[in-house]
Amino acid sequence: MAEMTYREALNRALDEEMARDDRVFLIGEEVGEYDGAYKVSRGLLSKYGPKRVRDTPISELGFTGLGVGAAIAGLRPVVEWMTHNFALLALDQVVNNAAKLRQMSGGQLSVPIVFRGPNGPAEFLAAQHSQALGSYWMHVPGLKVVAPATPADAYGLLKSAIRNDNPVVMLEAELMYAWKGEVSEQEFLVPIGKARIAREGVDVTLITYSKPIRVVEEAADRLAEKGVQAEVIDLRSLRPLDEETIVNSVRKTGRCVVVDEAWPLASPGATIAHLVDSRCFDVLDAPVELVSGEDVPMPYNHTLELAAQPSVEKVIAAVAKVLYREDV
Amino acid sequence: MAEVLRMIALSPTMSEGRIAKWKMNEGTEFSSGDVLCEVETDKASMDYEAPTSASLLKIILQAGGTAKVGDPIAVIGQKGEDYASLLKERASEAGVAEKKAPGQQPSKEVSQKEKAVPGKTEQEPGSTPESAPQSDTENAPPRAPKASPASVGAAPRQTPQAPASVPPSSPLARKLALEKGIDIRLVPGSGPNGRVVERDILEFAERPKNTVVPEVAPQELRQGPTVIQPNMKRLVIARRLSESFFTAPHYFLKKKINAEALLELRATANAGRPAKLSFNAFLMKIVAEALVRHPEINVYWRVPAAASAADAAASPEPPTAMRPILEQRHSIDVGLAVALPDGLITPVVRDCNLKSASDIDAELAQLIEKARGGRLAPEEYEGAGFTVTNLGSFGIDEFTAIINPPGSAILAVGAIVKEPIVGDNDVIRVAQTLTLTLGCDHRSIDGAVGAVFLADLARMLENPGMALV
Amino acid sequence: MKAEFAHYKKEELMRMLTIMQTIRTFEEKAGMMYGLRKIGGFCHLYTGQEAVAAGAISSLDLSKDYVVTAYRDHGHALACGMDPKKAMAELFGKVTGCSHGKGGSMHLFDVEHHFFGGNGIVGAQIPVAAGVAFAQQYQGSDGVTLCFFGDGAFHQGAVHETFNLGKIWDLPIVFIIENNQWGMGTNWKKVSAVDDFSVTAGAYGMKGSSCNGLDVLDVRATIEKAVAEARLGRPSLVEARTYRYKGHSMSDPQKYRTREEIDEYRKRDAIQSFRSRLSEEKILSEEEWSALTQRINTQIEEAVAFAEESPEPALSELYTDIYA
Repeated sequence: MAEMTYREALNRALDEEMARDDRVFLIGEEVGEYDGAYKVSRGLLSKYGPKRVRDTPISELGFTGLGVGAAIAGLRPVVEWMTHNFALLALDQVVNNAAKLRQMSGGQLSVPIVFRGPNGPAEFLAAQHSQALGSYWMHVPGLKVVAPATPADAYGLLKSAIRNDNPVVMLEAELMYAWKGEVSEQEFLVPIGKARIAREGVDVTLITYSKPIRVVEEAADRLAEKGVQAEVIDLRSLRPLDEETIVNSVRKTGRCVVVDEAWPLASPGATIAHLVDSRCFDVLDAPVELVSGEDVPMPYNHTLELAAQPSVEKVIAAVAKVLYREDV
Repeated sequence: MAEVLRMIALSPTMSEGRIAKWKMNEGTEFSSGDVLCEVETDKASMDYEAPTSASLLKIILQAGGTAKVGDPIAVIGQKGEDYASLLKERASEAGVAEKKAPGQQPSKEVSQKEKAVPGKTEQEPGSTPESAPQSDTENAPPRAPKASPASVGAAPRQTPQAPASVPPSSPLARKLALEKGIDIRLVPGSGPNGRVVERDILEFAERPKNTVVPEVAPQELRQGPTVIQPNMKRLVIARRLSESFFTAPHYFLKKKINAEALLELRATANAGRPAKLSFNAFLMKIVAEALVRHPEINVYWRVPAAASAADAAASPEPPTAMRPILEQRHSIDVGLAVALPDGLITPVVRDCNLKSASDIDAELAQLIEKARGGRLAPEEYEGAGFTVTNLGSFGIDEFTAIINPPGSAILAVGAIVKEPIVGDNDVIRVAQTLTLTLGCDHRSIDGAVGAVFLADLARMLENPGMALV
Repeated sequence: MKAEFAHYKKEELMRMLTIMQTIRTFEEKAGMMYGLRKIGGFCHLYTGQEAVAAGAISSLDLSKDYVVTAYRDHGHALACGMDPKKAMAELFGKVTGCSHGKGGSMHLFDVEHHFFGGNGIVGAQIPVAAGVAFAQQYQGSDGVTLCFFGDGAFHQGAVHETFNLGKIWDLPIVFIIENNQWGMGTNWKKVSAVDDFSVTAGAYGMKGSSCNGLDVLDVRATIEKAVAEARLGRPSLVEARTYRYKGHSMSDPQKYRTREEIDEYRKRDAIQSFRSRLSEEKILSEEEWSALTQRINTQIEEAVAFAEESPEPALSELYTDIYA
């Protein structure tokens, strides 16, 4: 085992997959000479050259669509969006082309492409650069969506995504890039569509994905001090959703809190809450609680910005609610 | 074989059609392909061709009528065939389909309820009758979920199950309660708005178990009480009497009477009778007569289910629907508390004032017999406006009793004892006396009102002839 | 014989004529079938524009070249060699269609014949086409991609982003504007800053050229040159001025243009004028024309019959071909 950062884990995955398969190339703004806006692609240009590490103009629509065309013509592009905020400019190419070309062509085409970049709130970035857009992709049939929360999962899921014959959108996070964790030196893959039980417990199921995992884990620690054993599920994939892991856990605990930094309406969290409601209704002892981002554009001011996001306190308050306890 | 001819889709988008014209009369024979009628669809007028060769036995939908695709329009078959049963089927079909058919309403509701909660009644025996607000039973015989239209219709006193009386509860709590055979309505809820949640059921189930588990040390086992899981009837008695005792402010009036005239009357009446009329029958008859003269006792203070919360909020003006009401009863239905091995039950003699003591006696005998067999129907033990309870046979001198809702008063009758009394001309002599204790709900009956009634009743019992006056 | 005719063998000329007439016959039949409700939804007919697809696509080597277009795609699909049966069945929504009935008129695809659709969002196919060219370059296939779009799509940002990408990366692509003069109901002159689209190529350092989209040989010659340049890594832009006879789609009442305008263009019909010239040059006899049209009529009749008789996709198809 080696300890490495999330950023290094992604870099290692890209490096290994590019070495393994000539069809894999990286394209995006600042991925080459700049070594990546967040240094995920550090060193890849010098190793693989400009043909396979392609700096683009600031044309998200253009280079995203170009990636789709390259994918249907036999390559395996990894499109880096500097952030998911900018991917909105390319929404049409992902939703209308990447996700649909296979179905519209009656299975003649496949679109093996990865779209990746940081998503979700960061710090001091204000409304346009700090937002969790997972539901934009999760909503669309034809796409797969992964959201690793640890370096090991970042490594294993990016490799799986690159090898997958479908368009895969990967949600990373600026604040996660420096997170450290153990990653096996042995090559491994993490399957798409399989959640991880980050912590076992019997009293309440906490479900999350991506960056809020740390908030949830800290909440679980604090709850344990009060004798509440929370089970923590890190979804890792939003589409397909690992329904079985979710359902099995809630059937065990009878209580569920979903933690999602996205806005509350039509969000991944809302979808999961509905899933739990419909599949676990008979075993629920309390309505499913959703701890979401507040329903506001992200403010710049740090105090407000923190207040707009899920916190340990909010998670614990939600757990208290589903446990009908005021003492946790 | 006669069969129902149904409206068919005569165009791809047709969902219903109007019969423009029947091309033949009832009784006409036709061949496959003949035009039976003209149907106006959403687009055009189309011919409805016979699907087979037969006779038109009965036109169900006359020209001008509209039918949805699939609805019956006629009966076809061989001439002379009996198709009455087909029409009957059709009628019931229509009854189910048309929600407005008033006679069908209850059966529909019941069947929906059965569908919605399969097995619920099975696992919560007796839940339906007790949850009815008018229910006054202390017994809860298990009821099969068979509630046929007839039985529902025959029990007009019984309002349908009132969901308000079922406390809010989580799905998990409900599931656990079913598994553990716990009546969830007996479980206090600790969640928001009194929601019964998992821990409430677990605590409810655990409480007695803690003391009865065989694993405890023999020492402790010897010292601890034996725990008996109360049956449903016992739980209901406990709940209802607690409710009455803790919500109705009781007061008690006591009066000793000379029972000799009453005993003499009974003896006279029983002379030559093979089966003696019971003392209780005479008591109830005279109580009924007293109630005729004192309708102010034959009342009930009804508190709507949700009103207690409003009271708690101390709102000076609760909404009308939440306010308690005083019900003045117009029939005199007297209950008699009867002790059975598995608990108390109160059969009710309806319109007691219109019945003779012997009628009352016969009815009581019948009711008690049924009660022993557990066959008493709810309408036979619910809704007493006044209750008589008599512990005289146990040698009890006097006692107080808890009011049995929906009544506002209960008469507790002690044993007949020989006592010295001051008779005419201040002569002390021995007489047969008994002590009456009248328990009243002060919300509906003030002390003076109760006192006047008890005095009058005493006078009538001491001089049964007064009942004629 | 005129020079442009001498340049091509008779069979090549006949191939172009055949493609045009096949498209014309197919589209006329499709229009009828639409009227009979055999075809639903948006159905954009290519009648009038046949010379562009025929001239441009016949210049390709489809063993390595690719074609990408928008939603007025029947003509390009047929020009690439799609079986009219598969095309008509797709319009009918049948399981035997090229996309098993899931794409419909706007989404014809024929991977075997290197026809990559069939895109319903105006301008969205343009970056995709550049990606196909990118892959050709990446793989060293020596292939070229023809990217068709209309005068309406020209004003999408995607066009200009892609022109830039095409040029900076020397992609083997030819951008072809089929200027049929009406972007739905809007005349192109009303919404364009320039009255000649080809001049915009200069802004991206590309060569721009124009051709008469009603003259199949002019289209052919212009695209041939552009394709040759593209193969050398020099993308370019070609504007083919043409005209559509039918409405934007079958539901278009065409209040925005006059009957006279349409008649004017019909007089200059690409197929009829090419056919006359072939007759004048004694390349095409009346008998040959008659036999050709007869054969094509039969082929399209067969396509309709095939589509008619083909089964609907099973309900179980609903969830197929979404993920690989």
